[in-house]
Amino acid sequence: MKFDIRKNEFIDEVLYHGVHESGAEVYVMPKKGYDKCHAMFATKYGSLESKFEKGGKIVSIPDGTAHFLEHKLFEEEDGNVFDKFALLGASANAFTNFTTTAYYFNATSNFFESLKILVNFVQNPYFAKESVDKEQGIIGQEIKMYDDDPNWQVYFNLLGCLYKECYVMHDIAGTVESIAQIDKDILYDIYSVFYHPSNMVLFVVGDVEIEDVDTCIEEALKKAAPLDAPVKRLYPKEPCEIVSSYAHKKLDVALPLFALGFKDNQTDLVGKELLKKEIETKILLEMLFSKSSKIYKTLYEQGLINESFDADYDCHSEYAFVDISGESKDPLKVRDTIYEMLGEPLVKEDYERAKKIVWGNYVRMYNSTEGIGYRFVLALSSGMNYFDFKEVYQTISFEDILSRKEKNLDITKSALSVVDNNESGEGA
Amino acid sequence: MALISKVVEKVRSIRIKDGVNLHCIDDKKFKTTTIGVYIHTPLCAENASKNALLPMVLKRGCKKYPTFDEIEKKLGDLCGAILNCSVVKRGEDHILCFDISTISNRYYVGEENIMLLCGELLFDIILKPMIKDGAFLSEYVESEKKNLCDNIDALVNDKQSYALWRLYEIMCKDEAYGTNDLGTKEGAEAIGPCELYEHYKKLLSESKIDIFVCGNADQTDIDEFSKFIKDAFENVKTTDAPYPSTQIVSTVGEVNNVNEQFDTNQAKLSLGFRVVENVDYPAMLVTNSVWGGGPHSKLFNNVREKLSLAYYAFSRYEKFKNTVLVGMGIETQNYQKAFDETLLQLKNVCDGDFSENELASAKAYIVNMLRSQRDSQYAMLDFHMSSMIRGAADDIESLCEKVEAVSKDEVIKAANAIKLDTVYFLCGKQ
Repeated sequence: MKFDIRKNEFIDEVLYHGVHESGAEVYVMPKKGYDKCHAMFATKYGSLESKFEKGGKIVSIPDGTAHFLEHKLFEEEDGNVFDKFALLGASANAFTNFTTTAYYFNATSNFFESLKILVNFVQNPYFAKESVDKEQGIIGQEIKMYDDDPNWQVYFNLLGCLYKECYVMHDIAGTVESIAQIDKDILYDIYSVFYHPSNMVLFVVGDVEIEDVDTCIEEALKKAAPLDAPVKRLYPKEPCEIVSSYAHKKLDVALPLFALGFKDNQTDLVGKELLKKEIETKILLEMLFSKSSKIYKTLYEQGLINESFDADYDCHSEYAFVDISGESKDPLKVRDTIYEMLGEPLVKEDYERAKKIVWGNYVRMYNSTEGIGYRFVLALSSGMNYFDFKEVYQTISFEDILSRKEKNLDITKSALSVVDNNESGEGA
Repeated sequence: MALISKVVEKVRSIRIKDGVNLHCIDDKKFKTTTIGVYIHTPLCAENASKNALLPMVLKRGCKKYPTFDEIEKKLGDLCGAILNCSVVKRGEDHILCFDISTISNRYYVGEENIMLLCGELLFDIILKPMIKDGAFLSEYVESEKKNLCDNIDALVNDKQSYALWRLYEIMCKDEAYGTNDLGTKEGAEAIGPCELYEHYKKLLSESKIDIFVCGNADQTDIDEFSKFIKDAFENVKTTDAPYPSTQIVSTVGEVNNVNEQFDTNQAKLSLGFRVVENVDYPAMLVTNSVWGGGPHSKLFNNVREKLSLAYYAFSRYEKFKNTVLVGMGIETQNYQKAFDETLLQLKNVCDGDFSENELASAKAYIVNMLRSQRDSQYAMLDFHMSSMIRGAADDIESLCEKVEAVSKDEVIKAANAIKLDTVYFLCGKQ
């Protein structure tokens, strides 16, 4: 397999990239001196997908299918693949989010044996009726665990306020009812489309030689025939407006939790433009909401927030939103204070500092092999390459941040979600 | 594959003064440098809230940066340095932790030595606090008391960790270990700013203090830093104190059963065990791993995979206290099934009913976990400080070798030493 090499001297790292004949994209980042090797094999398929077209036919996907499939893929005809990793001392796991289903392991020895197992099990589905039925029990417990999780509830209720059609608002694990509709035929159907190698990324990071990785994956990756046509993902059209500006749920919590979200309707960007938007928004959030910000100080000194206060930005080409979350005795007052203070002008000195913080965070990411794999794969799912970071970062100006604020922190596109002990919310 | 060379991380210790030591772990692969200061004091109900409150108050402001936003601005200027001021417990050693981490000089676009700037900030916070009339600022103390109480109240939010913590509170109610590292609300509310400052001065002068530097630091940086610490401690009276010891209870009586009801969908079952015989640490690690220490274990494969009773089910060995606990999330009506299965799986280990593969997987899991610690600065600090507290001289690699040498008989012997003490069941309202 042929690899291109990219060197990044700002951070002393190298990234190899190649496309396997099956269409799978392969990335390798050698990290000298690290004990832990990390490999992630991921498909650009998550809970966001609700419908797709296959052979002129439209197929609907029950909520929670991507996550269900993730669980089931670990099962093989001759048992559970976890056992194979375990014998080699590799710690394997998987996750499903809105855009991606990823299978990965970390190993401090026997790396290439484990890599073969990873590639093999993801490429060889085995879905049997009995095991699908059994999984409905395990995932049922997982869903119940999330039902009790105040952080999870406050987050998804926020998304329910911001989004009317987009599947980002649906719980990733689905519901007990929706996963009851899943059977092995649906799983095979979806697998054949979304797990085609041309929809997948393999990312390897650790103390490895590129030649050894190449030899290993040439053996392990299947020679797949190309898909007849690219996957046609059918997304519902999402209106610009939000659904509701307030949501409330009762759960047993000591202090109310809140999530204040801002919907970002700019969904036409890809690649470096999307990355620029992400970096700009991160700088903006640091300026406005970090612990050195005026808003944080004001809220903290009034006893309205504690250290759990955080601002985050989830950025994808199909959806994007800002999520400001924390614990407060009075979430409505937090929201009103933030709305009011967003009217104040941005300060250049804060901008200079925020830019340093964002740079520091970026460099720090390269400390951890699994952190690198996770962040790179998710960015790749959204069409971004983090190796472009410095180049894009350098082009950003204070004026960009000013205009980003107008677009991404529009209070008419914002909503508040609260979880507390009260039977009903106080309304908004 | 590349040759596997044995890696031994080097820890170099330098005595600063009585009871104060600097430990340097040099590792050039990291992009960051982390500096940590750890003050060791015995865990006890009387002082727990004061100890928990101290790092929170100190983080609010010091002489040079009197308000928290001035500290935060400084951290921002240091490329978003991460400052953590907190308490943890390691057995019955209650540790006040202060650490700071930021990108190494190599990646900093500025003329100054960013590592030394971070060190200065950290020691300003620890040794030069805001003091007025012989006391901490009362506004800081009062508002952090409130935050501490909120944090104590918030323990109940995460039922999974709450059910484990409650188990220990019940099981160790007559031992210092039954004290939460945050103390109690009553304890927090009673603290005054003068009393807290007196307590702090006493802590500094009577406690063992460890200072760690880990990461991408040159010898000249270390030399300069060690000189800087000596100066910083010049006017602080210190003592050559030992690490606080932990009471080990090696007997169990009749099993103590406690049920509590919460408004929750999923019930949580916690079981607390004591190790009643002398068992070597590596043998205990492997035994726990076979029983419930990961996805290869008996608990995972039976409680979760075979019987579908739980999404998570694990056992955890507490090396400082010599206890084992089991935690799982289940349906309330499955209590008996889950309880019986947990003890059945322990019995299987006791009877030697586990395969060569199960033993090999259990060992491989631990070795992988131990070696992985070398890739994280915080994990490495924790490993080495934990070894010092326990008086164990192992580096990571020699502990791995001992784990690999554990025999089946040793596992059987260790499993037979694990005896049930307390059962805590947090159930949903029916």
